[in-house]
Amino acid sequence: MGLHETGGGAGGKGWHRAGALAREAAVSAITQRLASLLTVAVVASVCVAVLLTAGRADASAHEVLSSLDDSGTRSIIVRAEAGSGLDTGVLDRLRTLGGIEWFGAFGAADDVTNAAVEGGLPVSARLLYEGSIDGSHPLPGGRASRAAARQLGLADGVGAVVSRLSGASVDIDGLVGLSPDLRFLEPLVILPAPPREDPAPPHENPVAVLVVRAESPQVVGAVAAAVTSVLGVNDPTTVTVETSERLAAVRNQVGNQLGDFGRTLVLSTFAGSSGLVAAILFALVMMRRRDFGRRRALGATRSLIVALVLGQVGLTAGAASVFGTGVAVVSLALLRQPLPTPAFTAAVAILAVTTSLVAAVLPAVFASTRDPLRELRVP
Amino acid sequence: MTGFRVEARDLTFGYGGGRPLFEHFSTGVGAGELVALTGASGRGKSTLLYHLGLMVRPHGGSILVDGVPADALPDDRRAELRARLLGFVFQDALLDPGRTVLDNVLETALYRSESRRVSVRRAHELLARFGVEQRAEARPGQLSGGQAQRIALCRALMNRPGILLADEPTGNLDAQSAAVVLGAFREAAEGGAAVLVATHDPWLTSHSDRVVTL
Repeated sequence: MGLHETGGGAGGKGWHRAGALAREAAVSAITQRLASLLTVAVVASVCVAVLLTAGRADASAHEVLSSLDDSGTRSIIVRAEAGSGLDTGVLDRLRTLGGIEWFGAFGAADDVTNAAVEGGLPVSARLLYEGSIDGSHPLPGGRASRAAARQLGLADGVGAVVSRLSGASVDIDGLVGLSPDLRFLEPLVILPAPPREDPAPPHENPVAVLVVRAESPQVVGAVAAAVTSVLGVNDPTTVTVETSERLAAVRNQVGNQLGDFGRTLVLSTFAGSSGLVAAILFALVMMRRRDFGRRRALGATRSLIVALVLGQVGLTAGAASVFGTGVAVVSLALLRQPLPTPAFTAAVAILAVTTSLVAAVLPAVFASTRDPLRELRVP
Repeated sequence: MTGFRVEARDLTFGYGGGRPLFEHFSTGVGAGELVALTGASGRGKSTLLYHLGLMVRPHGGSILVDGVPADALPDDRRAELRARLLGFVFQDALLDPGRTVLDNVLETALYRSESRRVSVRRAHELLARFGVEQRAEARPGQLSGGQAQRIALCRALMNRPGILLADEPTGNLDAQSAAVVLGAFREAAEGGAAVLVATHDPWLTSHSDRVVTL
């Protein structure tokens, strides 16, 4: 074999080489216990610290935003006076609009009482023309909200009610759960709309309350404008449109501020940890100068030394991040604190490994440039 | 692996700002030759070995391998030549204390991208040949000086080197171990390798084909 024929070793041997490198990195991590333990301690501590602070804050932020959303940050409520001209014809027009998650149209309120209790407390009853309420539409009979059932004295929401206006009796088949943006209608009995096979002309189905839920708080303003434009009323002064636009703006602001706080906390924690990891690795490389010098003398390329150091750090930091996130999640659960989302937890683990690898680049390059003559020669 | 000649031509090199250790110095070792490199301490025996081992670039002149100026090659290419073409026995064995003897012998297989399975067979052959196979799973800290140097020799011979360089390989060995080491050098030279041994050992010098004195 001549001097120019010694090449090779790449190509088909790539996977074999990667496997050998991973094995060497793992063995290095195991044999250099002190450095590995220090790295594990730093990275795991960072994961625990971030998840117990920023992670918990993120979980709390989600709860705050969720409760804000429960207050109806995405809802648009249209109230129409009698004779306004708002009828079920608006429903087909709403179906053509984008940005809407759900809508429901209710008729005018009619007081009903428990048919079995003479002189019982009245409760508002409304026809529901469109929109599934907790998945139970179309309703074969009437449904009562929990508050309405309590007020009417209907056990488990089952019984019959009588309209004060018409004297007609309607069976109530059970309870219905109202979403947060419909609770302003409480207490409420929902009456079945006429069957769709034989629908009355729209103008015979006047709508008194229309509730539209936008897909996100950010589009509430645009959806409200679109809904207003398709109401089809004769006199705009006979309807009022209430939006949660201001509440949505507050929600966005709160979300951004909580997010900024979390990001700042996470970034500063990881910046500090990467400095610590870099310091540990520099110390490790300084202690192992002869080791790297020997490797270079025996034929290790600079890129291989860099890959070895990064591989060792990657394996150690990976194990540490799994351990650290596990400890943090279990701790939060035991303390009955809100748990960060799986995406946040995974992001912390990935970020921990990434920052460790970035911190390891300079020490790895330093290790790869050890001069065998300087490190190995015995004076 | 046979037929390589390594030589320093017009080598100039010095440490710091002092007087150069070498000024236009030339020497070489041919294929099949066992050459002893002697001289007083501090005259540059180890430095010359590191130059011929392509571990350091000379300040002047060149290192030729089969007539090719190898010192001018890119760093990765020189590393590859060290892994595939050269064997090096260090003065104090320089084994990795955290690894087993077998892993130490196999270390250079990684640098040559050789399969560990194939390399393990040759490693065991070499350990058996030098009488240390039973220590394959031992750590370097559990070895005597003679055993450590034999392990280092096994590591250097793993790639069947065309050029074998050794730095005071018998300095701390008893006569029996020194004989084993010399036997290995002689066998490598008879196999066609160019063997250069830096030594103060008159016995080793007397058994070499030629002596270069610095």
